[in-house]
Amino acid sequence: MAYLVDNWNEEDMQEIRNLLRKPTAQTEHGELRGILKTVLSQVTRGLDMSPLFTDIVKLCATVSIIEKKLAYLYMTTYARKKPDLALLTVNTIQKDCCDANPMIRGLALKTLCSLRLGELIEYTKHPLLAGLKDKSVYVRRIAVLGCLKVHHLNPQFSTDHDIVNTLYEMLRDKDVIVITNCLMALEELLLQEGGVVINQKIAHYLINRLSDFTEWAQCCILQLLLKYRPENDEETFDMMNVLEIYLKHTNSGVCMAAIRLMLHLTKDLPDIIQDVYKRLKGPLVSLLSSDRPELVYTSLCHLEWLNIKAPGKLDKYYKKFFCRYNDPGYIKYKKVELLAILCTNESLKDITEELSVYATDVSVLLSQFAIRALGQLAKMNPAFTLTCIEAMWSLLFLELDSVSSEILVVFHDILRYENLIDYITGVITKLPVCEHVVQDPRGKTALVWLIAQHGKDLLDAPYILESMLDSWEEEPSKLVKLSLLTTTTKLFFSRPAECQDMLGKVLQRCIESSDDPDVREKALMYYRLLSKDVQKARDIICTSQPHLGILPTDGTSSLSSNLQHFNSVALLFGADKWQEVQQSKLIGKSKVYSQSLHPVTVSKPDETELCMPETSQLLDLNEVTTEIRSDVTSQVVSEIKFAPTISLSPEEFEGKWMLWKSSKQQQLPLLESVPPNDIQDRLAGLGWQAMAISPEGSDPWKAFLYAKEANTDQLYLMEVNLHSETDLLTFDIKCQEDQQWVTSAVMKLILDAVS
Amino acid sequence: MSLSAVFFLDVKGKVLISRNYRGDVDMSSVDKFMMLILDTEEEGQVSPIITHGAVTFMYIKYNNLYLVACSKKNANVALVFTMLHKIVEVLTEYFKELEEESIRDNFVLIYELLDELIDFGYPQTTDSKILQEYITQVGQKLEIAPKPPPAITNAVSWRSEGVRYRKNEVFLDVIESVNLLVNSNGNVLRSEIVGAVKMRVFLSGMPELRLGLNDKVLFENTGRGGKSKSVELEDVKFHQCVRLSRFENDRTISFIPPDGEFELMSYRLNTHVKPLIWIESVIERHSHSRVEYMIKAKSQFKRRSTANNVDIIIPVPNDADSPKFKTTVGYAKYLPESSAVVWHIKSFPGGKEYLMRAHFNLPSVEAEEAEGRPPISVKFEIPYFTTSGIQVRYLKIIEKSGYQALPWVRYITQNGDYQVRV
Repeated sequence: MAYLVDNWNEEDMQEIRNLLRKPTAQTEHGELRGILKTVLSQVTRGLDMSPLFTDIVKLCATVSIIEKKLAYLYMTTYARKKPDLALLTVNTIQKDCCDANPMIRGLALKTLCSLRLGELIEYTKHPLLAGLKDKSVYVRRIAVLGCLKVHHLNPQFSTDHDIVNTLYEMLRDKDVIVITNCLMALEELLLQEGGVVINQKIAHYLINRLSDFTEWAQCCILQLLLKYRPENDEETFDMMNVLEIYLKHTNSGVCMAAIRLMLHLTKDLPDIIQDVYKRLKGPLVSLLSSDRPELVYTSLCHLEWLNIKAPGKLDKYYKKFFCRYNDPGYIKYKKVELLAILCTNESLKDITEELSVYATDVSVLLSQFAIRALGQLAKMNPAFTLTCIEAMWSLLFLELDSVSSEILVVFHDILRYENLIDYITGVITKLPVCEHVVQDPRGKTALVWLIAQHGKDLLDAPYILESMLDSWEEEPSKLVKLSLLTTTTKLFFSRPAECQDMLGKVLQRCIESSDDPDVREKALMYYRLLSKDVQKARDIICTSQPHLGILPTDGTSSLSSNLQHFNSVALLFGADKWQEVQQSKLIGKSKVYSQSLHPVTVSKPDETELCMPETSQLLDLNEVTTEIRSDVTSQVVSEIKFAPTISLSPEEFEGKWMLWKSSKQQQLPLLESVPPNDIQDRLAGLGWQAMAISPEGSDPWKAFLYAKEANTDQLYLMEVNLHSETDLLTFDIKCQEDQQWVTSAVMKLILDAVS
Repeated sequence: MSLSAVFFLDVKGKVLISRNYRGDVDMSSVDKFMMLILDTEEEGQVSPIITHGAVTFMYIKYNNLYLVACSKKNANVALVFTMLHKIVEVLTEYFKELEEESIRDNFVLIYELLDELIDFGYPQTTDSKILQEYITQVGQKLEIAPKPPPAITNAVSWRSEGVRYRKNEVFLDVIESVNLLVNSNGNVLRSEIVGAVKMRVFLSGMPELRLGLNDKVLFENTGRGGKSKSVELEDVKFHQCVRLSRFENDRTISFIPPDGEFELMSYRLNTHVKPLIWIESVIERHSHSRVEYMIKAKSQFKRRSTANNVDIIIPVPNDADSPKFKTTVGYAKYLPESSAVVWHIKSFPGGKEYLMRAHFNLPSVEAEEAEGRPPISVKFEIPYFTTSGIQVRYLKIIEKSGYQALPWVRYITQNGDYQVRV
């Protein structure tokens, strides 16, 4: 029989069905297994094999464990499609849950909990509760996580059967995997209350037994221990002593988790935390030599973080950040970025030499990163400027298009800084060399801009411009055309005699024959300005550019240096990206997709500036962005839904109400009197449930409401006041701090419903 | 932590096998994975984690496969990556090579293993020795049911009881890899030694092992600093079987080993050592006609040691042809498929210097796309020698049945990432 049929049709399905129904199939194990394998391989390929459900369900009663596994695997895949048929298997599974063989018991229990069918919960109850007390550890491990699976289907289950307490008791189990599973299950079950409670007793128990746990459990436990606050410094030091040995663990997951806990414990002890920084650099630096690029990347990101926290500690390790030929691109880019950050007077020579090597690399991206790093160094520290600028000059003489282009772009960006003023003339004299090399539109734009800005000192400027204008017709890039236009105009003011003729030609060309409206408009504007009053036009077009002081190194954004992101996805993404990711959980998927595909490119602002030096126009841009933002909010609104039924005890409500700060307050003057009941009904329609309401007719009428957002599972509390005299309705919404950005959207939804 | 699902993808992004652990992600979202990779690659933003909507993908590449884990939470990254590598490790122990074909052939087994390794997104039993006791490739009937995994009650989760060997033996390999990066001017940019102590253990019962090294810290503690040669180890990392607290206290490496092969410890040395094999190259390139290489290799270790199977790999242009070689020792071979010449020297004693010349013709038409400049790399192996001077002073084996076991110790220095830029 063909195992991998490309076109699977009804006939093949029938053939399989016949084979499955053949009575001999029950006896010959080898054959049956072959058939099941075929079916599952089709499932893996994404074909719908659910029509065979009835036939495979019957096989669950088979005696062979492998066939059983395959059949159960099939069932977990399709049970949701055929809930009524799945019900038929319950008997078999329940029977298997009482089998003498713990492997079968475990398998059956796991399957039962993984079917993800709400209807089956009542059948799951007994096997699951029995499983928690099973004498085999294998079954107990599965049962503990089974509770969690069922909880996700129906949260009521765990409260009905007091699962939380049972699991707390099971923390005393002798098997460490059972204990870990209990901890993880509790953490998720009690998510609303902040997860599993780590009191001193549990904390000490866990930390003392830590070495007994598996490496994965150690990671998880170290993470949970973040919740524990030692009572005094002495206890902190005891914990630190135990933790220190985990820095030597081969599993970098454990190592990182231990570092994070150490940092957490010492976050209020400034003297000691410096010591911790010193220690954590060792494991991170040695991870750099790992042959697993993902881990190298992780360690690079963390070293970047560490450098923000404890600057200067890593400087002497700069050689570790030199790229290897076979490093994947993402590691090379990160290393180059870090090299620029770690540079000191001692390492400057080595680093610039190394960056110059990368600058001529065959990978254009790496070359761009390296040149940008050189630029970064040049503007960051006056002591570095000369060496870096010279390195870039010598690169210019290689006359490579992509290299020269990028260098011009970098010059265009950095010459605005104070410490580079002395080098402007030097840069300008190199421009004629670049003219025939640079083909890249970005490079050309930068070249032309540099001429516009500093061309008065360059003897050849008009000639360079002229030769570029000669190829105007072949120039495909609009940006280049726009900047050529601006440059010619600017140069005209400083060297009118040589440029007048040229300017006339350019303006004529732009106005008469350009099909691009932007180019035409701009040319017309220049033309009108020039024809009204040349002097005023000069004042408007040629404004002097202020020189910028040295900027502090960027990357110190508060979020990225946040300890809570250590050893998490967020740190690898960087703060901004992570926030974007977080928000995208609410926004429609297609939208996010396009967002994540087009991250903002760095060079954009420069280009806009190049074309529009007027600040008023930049202000306009701001308005546009606010409009865009409000657009996004409306997107959010369409996605926010409140879960229909949730329960919250008055105590919980009160506790949260006292704890949370109000994140959004709003007043709504009503046009006509509305009975309070009506308001309450409308809010209930949205999913807001009442906790306490003042009787109708009282003034002001008050109501405390709560609701849970269906997608994020976040709880929102609200106080509503209605002043009947003034017909003023006030809202006060509270929620967890990290969710506050959504509250405007929530508020909008409420206002829409009420008004 | 909590992984929502794990996928095995081929190089084109097609799902070969997948396991949905939590049912909270759309399994079809992985279809976008490849597109995301390609897009981010173009923008130079590629990284081993990417997002699609609310789902975070974390992936590793192995052979021609992508192993992708996806999670909805702000997961512990290092853990996810090590877990993915662990999956690879376990699978390769089951069927040697992990590749597209072996996945197809073994997908039932992989499903079984994925089911045991992780439950509802949380790692469970990952020790391949233990797994092999109850997940076997041979089908069983119920009468001879496999043993369920034993309870992990003490610190010996990696070894099951009742292991028996007729001959009790331990093999211990001290392997030091030299990582070297030399720039085109002949300056050493980076030189480090990464050491590992690997063991193959064939011992019965629950043996207690103790390893003694000429560790500098230990020698100083015990007042033997001056007399014998000792080594300062940096960034020591141990297998989880080693009692770390014991090491911290008195620098004793004591452990109950897992059965079979494993890496006991690794360390790093930052001491500046002379590059063991020094390469000098002169390359004369006459565009459109020919390119000539003169490579000088010099062994800079003690005369009584010998490097074996030295391969000096010299990259040449893609479009080079008609190779001609001349060597003072060994032989050179042109490998057009990897655009390189391999100069092989079977035995290279210390303190020697050898020479190779190569000549290639170049086509008169220049190739369109630019070529990178890969470095010259060197492979070698020097037995009975460690750069650091690390020594095993003793390996004690104690088991309650009192058997005698033989420890075998071997030292090897080999190349790690050994690159000389041209």
